[in-house]
Amino acid sequence: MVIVEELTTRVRKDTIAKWYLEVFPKVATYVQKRGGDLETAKDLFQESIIITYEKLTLEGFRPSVSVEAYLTGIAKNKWLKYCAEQKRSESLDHVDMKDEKEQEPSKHKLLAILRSTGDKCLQILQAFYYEKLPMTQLSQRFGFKSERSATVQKFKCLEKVRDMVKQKSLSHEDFLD
Amino acid sequence: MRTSLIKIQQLENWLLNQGDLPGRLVTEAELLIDHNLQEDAKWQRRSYELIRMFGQEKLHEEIQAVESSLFEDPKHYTFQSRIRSIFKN
Repeated sequence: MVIVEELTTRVRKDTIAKWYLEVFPKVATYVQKRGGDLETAKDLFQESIIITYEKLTLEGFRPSVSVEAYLTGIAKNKWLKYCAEQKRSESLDHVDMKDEKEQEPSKHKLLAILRSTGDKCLQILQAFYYEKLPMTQLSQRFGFKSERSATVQKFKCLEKVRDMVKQKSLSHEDFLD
Repeated sequence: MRTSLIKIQQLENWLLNQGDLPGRLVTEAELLIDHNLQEDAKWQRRSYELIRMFGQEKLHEEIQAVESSLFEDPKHYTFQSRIRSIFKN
């Protein structure tokens, strides 16, 4: 059972390392030539990896170029958006920006509450909905006797999280930013 | 599965546009008249958003761990040297 998780996680970590070794130098060069520093290049690259991972895994997207070329394109686009945002921030320095959504409960605080419960449910839901782990592998990872048991538990976890989100959101005074 | 879990599955099929079409159409019709079901759909959609955020946080932690290793572990000296040379000025 441990082998399944290790293989999935190891493949992902190996892929990320490969992207750093092969793609990051190109992205770093691009950023440096346009006035950016190493920390900015690192931040943008991390975000680009997440975007690329989600495109491939959550959306099943298959780029017409290599994944490495696609990742490079994402990173360059992130840099352009970063520059545009910097310029926008400078031009709005004198304007008092009020957060239009300040009355909405903070998703980050909601997530922090869910995480603090130390719940196995979030792990199961993340494995299914974010890692897109097949039920066979999910069963093995979490020690279920069958895929059917894993499926039922998944929905029980979703129900539990949904009820918690509803309860915490309806008393959202604690969650205003 | 108990009824509430079946309902969650039906809502999921509708929210994520999966499963059989007739089932999704039935759910859509029920949503038009059942306020409680509408509420459940809203909070279930929010739950998926939070699960995705949690997934992003975990992935970010993995990425940072890989990055730290590449930038700090002496066995990756060639890579570190290459990056240093890019930002040396």
